[in-house]
Amino acid sequence: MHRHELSVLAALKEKGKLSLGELLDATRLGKDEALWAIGNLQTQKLVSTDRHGEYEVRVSREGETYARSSLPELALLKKVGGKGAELGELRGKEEQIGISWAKRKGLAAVEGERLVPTDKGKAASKSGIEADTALKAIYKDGGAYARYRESDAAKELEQRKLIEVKARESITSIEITHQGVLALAKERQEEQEIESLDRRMIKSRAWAGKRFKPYNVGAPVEPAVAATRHPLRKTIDEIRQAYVGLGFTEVSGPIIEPAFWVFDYLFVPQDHPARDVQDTFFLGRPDRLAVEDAALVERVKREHESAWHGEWSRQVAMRAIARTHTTSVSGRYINKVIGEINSGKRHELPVKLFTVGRNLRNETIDPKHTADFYQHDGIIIGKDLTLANLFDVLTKLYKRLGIGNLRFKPMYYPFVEPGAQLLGKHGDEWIELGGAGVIRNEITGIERSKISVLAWGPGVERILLVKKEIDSIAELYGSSVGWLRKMGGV
Amino acid sequence: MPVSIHDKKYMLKLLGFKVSDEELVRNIENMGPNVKRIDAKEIEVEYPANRPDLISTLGLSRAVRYYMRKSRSFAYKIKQGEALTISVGSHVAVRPYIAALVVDKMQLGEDDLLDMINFTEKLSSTYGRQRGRIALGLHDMREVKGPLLYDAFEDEEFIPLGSKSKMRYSTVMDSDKRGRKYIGLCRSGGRYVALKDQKGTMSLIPVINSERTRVSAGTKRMLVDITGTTREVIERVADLLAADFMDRGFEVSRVSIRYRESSRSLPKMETRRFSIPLKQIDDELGVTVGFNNAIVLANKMGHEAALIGKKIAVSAAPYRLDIINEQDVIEDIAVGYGYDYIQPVPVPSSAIGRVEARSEANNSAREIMIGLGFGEAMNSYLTNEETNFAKMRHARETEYIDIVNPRSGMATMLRTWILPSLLRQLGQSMHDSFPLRIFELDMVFGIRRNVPAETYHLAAVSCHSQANFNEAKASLEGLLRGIGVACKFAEGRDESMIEGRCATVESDGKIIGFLGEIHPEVLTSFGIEEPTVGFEIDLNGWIGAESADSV
Repeated sequence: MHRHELSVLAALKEKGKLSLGELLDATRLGKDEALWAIGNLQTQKLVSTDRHGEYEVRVSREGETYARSSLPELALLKKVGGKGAELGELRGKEEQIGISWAKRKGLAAVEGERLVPTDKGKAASKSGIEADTALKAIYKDGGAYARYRESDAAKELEQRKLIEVKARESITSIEITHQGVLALAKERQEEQEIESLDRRMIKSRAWAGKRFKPYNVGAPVEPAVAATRHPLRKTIDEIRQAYVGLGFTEVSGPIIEPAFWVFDYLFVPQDHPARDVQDTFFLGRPDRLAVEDAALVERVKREHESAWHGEWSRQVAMRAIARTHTTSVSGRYINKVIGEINSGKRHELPVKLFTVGRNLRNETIDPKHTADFYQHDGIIIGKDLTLANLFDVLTKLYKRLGIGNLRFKPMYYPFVEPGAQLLGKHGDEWIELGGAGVIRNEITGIERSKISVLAWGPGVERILLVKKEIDSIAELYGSSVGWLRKMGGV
Repeated sequence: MPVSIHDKKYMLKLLGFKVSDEELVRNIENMGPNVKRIDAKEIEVEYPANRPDLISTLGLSRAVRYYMRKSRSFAYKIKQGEALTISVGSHVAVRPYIAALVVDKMQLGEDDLLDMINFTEKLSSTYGRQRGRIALGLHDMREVKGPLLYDAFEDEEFIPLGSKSKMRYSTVMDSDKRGRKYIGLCRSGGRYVALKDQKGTMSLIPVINSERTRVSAGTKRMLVDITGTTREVIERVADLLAADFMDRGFEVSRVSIRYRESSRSLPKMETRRFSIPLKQIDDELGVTVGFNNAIVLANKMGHEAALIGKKIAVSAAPYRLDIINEQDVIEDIAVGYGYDYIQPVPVPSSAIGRVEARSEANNSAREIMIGLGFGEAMNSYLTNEETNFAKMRHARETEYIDIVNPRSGMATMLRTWILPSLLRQLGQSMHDSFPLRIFELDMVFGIRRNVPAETYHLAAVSCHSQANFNEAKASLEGLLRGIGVACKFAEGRDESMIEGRCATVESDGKIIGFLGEIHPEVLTSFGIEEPTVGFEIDLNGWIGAESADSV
């Protein structure tokens, strides 16, 4: 017995009467395989089936011609009328067919050289013939065949090859017969196939000479889910690798900062809109954070007051906030490294640093918007650095990140001079990637002829949006496990 | 960046030459602004916040004309003498400074008037910080009878712009929407800041002008007042406005401002001069500009320039409020040169790159979690008390960092632990195939001795019908073994976990975290329908609180 037959019998034995669909589920057989097995089993009377019949009717080309006019015998009767006609006048092909059928049905008779309708023929020429009516109805709608199926007219049409009928049976249910149960039991006794291999069998070589029960390799399975890194983490790590490859050293800094490091040190005036409650999260506890370096605070105060003229408030600078950009980290390191250089510590110039970190901006949070976003900030502290150098390092960095086509345009940021915006080509569009520039002397506190600082701080999610099909940055944070599984593998 | 919308027909009229949309957009953008939209009627331009001279259509077209070298800048000549005197009283402490100028020989078309009004409005709201730093007023001089007095006055009556009847200052302040918006800027000690002439109130500053001095297309002579908190700023804005009016072909005369101790004759129309060695420009930009070219580039940006020895002497355009020092001039020359033409030049460096020890450590822990079958999740640092405490059956602690200005109830504090974020995600994942296993390694926030503490935590959850304590313990032990942390488990308690199915994790004599089966009430509050186990540990001890810092 074939394994498909066996599995059908086994399923029916176990579960009783099944529909075809249930059987397919139970046996994991394909429909063709199952029907083939059922057919075999039924001829051996091992299963019984309930079937539901349907018919498929096709009208032949000849039938189609008649359906549009009438059957030849009817056309003939109409043509010859009550009196009949000379046979000599009826030589057409269809007329010949008409004569033959009219005679056979007793609708007309040949008298000498004339064809004469019988009484039945005369009546038929007025009321029509059932076969003709049936043909016309079936031609119009195949379903009409059901009405005529048992009638002589339908049989005649089929015989005359005017219609072609195919019986189509569908199985509504299948049941195992008593003989089937016996056959299965017998078969099982004889079964020598190994279902699954185990430790004992391997050790004892009990498998030798036996057959492994084959699997249906096409049968569907639930795929295993791979645990993956988060797509944003992958991008962050790609960026970190790109920096390291270009000789940069990774640094990091606090997320909770006094406004001083986020704004004041970076020459952002105290009434700048970016410092509004609309943009920055101010913390309630703690509400103030100290800046240890009193001399630095004094210098920053001087620079602000001389450039922006208003009074610079220490209180405002010490407000505790969540950083709104990683440039605060760059700022801390610019201050540290230049401070060390000024106090005589030897640094091998240029010093190249980077950080990739998260920031928070006071956005209205909804499914499309989040307060969280990442930035990568880089700085080069050195001698004789130029705008052309800045463009070079950013071009190389983005090339490594898969964005080969980069453009720069002038842009104003309070902390740089000159300032530039990076644009990356995505399809036909130029997408804003972020800002860059040469840090202002007011910040570095040193002449450019001695030390200058190139700096930039573009967004991270932008890169991800350009490279992957993600609708919004908000999707990246707190999405469902299904989303993580879908995006993690990409 | 702030946005200004320009009428295209008017713009082209002011430009005075034919230009395709494409060429116009390219030139505007190469100067710095972004063109958001251009159609048959309008051009919407984002201008840099430090360039208020680009707000007006006149200012933008002036910049484009110079940039495209269609015309050269000219020296602004202000009329001799002072047209008017404004005395400053002793009560204006909230808004102590005023500048003013008188514009003559005006011929205003409707489009000019509209551009001027847009300009002054936008200037006050953006550069003027919602009229706090500066506020502007325009007055028809026909109705003005000098001398003027700028002071804070007792409550009195005048007819505000657009009104038919007299109103008291206090009524305007309380009934008018703008009044309420600006009230902090103009009322002090029961007095109201106003500008008056011999006929009465001209302006309740910075809220509304009087109907009497309303400016119209028929105005031939106009007074502009500029008030604010910083003398230098309003005086520079007076220069900007004077240049704008002269570029429209009008005449500008000065106004004398009499403070108690001193007086000023404004606008000063001060020219800032810079002398910059050409080599310095080349050195900072990394291109060779060339002598003649340097002058052309300065002119393109609207500045007067000449060569003196090996230096270029630049007189900055008086309307360029952003030019503070020579760095600003060098940037302008770079913009004139065109960023697109600056060829990248490599930085000579043999530095070897290095990642931070901390981020590498974190990544190795993440790798082990992924190996254990947990997918990596990332969640917002922000949460609210409901999620962080209440849903976890925790009493609200006091040592957490809260936000004083949240825009939504979703983000009122910084999270103190990660488990609530992961449980929230599980609640959203009930239609995904089980088992659900995720982890997150990132920052949590607290306060230690009044100082914010940023700590790396690792939390993980596993959610499926068979999830139990032992699974969580097995995963956590697997992780700790993988990262080389020796640990001990002891019976523990956490309100978010089922009693008797919770353990603490101890390493080096310190409790670093806990694990267990999540309490069914917690599951319900997050919409989780299957048993869930999890753990959360503090990794700072392992990572080392500070990164190895040898920059």
